[in-house]
Amino acid sequence: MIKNLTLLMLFLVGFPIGIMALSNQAEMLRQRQLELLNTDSTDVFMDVSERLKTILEEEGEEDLFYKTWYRQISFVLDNVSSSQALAMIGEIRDYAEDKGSKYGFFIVSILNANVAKDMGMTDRAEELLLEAIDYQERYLSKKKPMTQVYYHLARIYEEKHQGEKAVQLIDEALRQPGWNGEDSVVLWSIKCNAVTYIEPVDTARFMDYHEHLHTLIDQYGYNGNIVAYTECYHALYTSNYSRLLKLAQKIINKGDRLKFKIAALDGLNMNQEAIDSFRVYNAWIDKQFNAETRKMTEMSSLELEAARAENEAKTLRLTNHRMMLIAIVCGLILFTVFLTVYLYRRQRQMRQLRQAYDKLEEAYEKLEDVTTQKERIESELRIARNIQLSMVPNVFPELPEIEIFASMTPAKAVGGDLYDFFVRDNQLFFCIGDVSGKGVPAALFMMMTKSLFRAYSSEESMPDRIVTLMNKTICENNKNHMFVTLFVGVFDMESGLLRYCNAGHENPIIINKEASLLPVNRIFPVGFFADTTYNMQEAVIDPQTTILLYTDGLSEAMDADEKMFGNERILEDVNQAIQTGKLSPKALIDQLTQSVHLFVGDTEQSDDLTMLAINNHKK
Amino acid sequence: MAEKDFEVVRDGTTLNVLLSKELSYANATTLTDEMLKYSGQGIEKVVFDATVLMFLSSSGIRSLLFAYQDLGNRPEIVFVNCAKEIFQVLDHVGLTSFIKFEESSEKRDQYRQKFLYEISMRDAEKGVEERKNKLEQFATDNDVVCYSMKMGEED
Repeated sequence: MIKNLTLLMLFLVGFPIGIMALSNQAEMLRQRQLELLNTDSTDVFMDVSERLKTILEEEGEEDLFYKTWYRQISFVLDNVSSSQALAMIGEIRDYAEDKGSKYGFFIVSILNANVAKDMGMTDRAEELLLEAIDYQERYLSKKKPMTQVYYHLARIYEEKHQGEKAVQLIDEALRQPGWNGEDSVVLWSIKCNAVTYIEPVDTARFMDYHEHLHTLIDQYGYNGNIVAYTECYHALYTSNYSRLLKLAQKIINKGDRLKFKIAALDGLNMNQEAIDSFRVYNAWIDKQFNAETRKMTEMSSLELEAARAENEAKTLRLTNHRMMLIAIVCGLILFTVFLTVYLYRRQRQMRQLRQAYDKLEEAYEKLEDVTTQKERIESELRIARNIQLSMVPNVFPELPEIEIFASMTPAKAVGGDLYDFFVRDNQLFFCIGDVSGKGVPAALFMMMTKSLFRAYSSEESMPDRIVTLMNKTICENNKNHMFVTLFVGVFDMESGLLRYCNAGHENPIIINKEASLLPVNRIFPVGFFADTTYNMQEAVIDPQTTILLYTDGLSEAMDADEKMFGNERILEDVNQAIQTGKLSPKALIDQLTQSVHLFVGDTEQSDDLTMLAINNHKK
Repeated sequence: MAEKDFEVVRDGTTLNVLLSKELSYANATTLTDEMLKYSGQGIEKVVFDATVLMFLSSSGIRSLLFAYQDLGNRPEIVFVNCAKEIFQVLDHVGLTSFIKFEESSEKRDQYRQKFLYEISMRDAEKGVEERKNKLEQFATDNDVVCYSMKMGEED
């Protein structure tokens, strides 16, 4: 119990350091509580303590609040009863648990150790205090070390007769940083006391430490009562029993006070007083040592452990929660970054896709337009083809003198070949021609040529004159140098006389019993030069004779190997027709058409193909 | 589709036209446009190198008319190494009356060398192709994947 007094003294020393910011009312109450420590005014002390605790709690002074409570419980433990003190320890433990206060647990640990030690449970008390030191280092390292813990441990080692261990404990404590001068005085006082625990007592060593203690007291100007216990030992070892009896009265702890008082009375040979004091001491000890109190102490310690474990678990959970929160935040950040990148890339891809789609749509629209235009052009070309084909005679008259047949197959939709014939004055006017080039320009030129032929041959009867007129007309404004190879013939159906003019066209083939080329002059096609003079030629076409006229689409028809059909093959087919007797114009043209188709095969037709055949029926 | 398989090179007042094997609807318009770039530039002579010309259509004849009538001053038209078939076509339309025909053994030799080179290259390419085809067939017949051989890297 003597430790409680010392502990109270320790707080008396420590308080001014931590109360600088206290309100006036709190400071006044704190002073009042300290004054009441050495009195028996329990009710007043408790009332002052409660009021001070309330104010300190409101002001958020956690350390002072718990120290005030500690002082209150220590007072109860010393002056009221251990069971009531233990009940109060339960309250402060519950409060600390509720607030999650580590400092509160620390204080409760010291209180429990204090009670355990008083109950003779020194091992348990030592264990609790060592845990308190460990707890303080782990969770309260920023707070100033507390000398109380070392005091209690030193007292435990006293009871376990391990005084040297107590001295080593204090030496280790003194090596720690953070102590102030008053703490040093307290620790050296404890160290002096620890020497007394070593059997036999080394009084010289005690005197050395005591001398150093007084050096510190002088150095720091310390004037408190914390060293009263040490001074009692000093008086005892110096056999100054009167001083010891006087000093013992200053020790509030009843057990310690009685022990020193008994020693002093015994030294002064005041035997009866000593025996009386001894009886009081035994009665007091019995009161402290009862089974129920021991059990409560154990339970209190166990509950404290549970609370502390729960607090640590809570701390761990909090740490886990923090880690989880950090992980969640990091995850969210990563997810946000990923989502941002994903959305950006997706947006870019969508933009590219949209652009590609727009281009595709644009291309499709163009294609649609082109297709529409193409279809329109093809449609127009089909119409043009029909018009062109309808402009040449497709109905072949059955005349008594002659049989006539023709075919025209443009290489493209429209072509530049032409043929025409009509009968005037018992004369057959006919022509065949091949316009340079292909397609629409050639077709337009062909239609102009055919019209000019009709126009001039309606008035003129001489083929050279017809060709000359056509040439002059065509050359008048022929900047594109279009020209047409042309054969114009006028066949007198009565006499069989053929007058003809050839302007650069293929030689017609005369077919009778044998095939021969009709001689023609070599002269420019129509359209070359306006001043060209065309001459007329004449030939008598015998009865049963066929005149075959064709364009170079026949002679120059090409197969896949780019070989030309050629005049030789034409003559071969003609001779074959002569041998078979199939010399009618239609049969002859069909034969040649079939032959050339066989020759070119699947090869695309390269040029317009036109044939005209006239057979003299006369016998 | 217009093809440019000819060369038009000016040499002073002479325009040298190197013809390919064909002058027809396929390339005549392009040749005409190329020649007419020199219209009004004092061209007095147009030399058509017809050493390899094998086919002349009516569209090709139109190109000759453009050269004769639109280059200016009705330049002299010369055909070098004209084949018999081409001559017949030109004669048929009366153009031989104002076209001058020349022979050039030098140009024939040039073309012969070039022709032989092209033939040899073609044969070489054909040989590589045949070899690849054989390897393809070999791989197929033997169910062996021999990409390196297919790629012609077996050497």
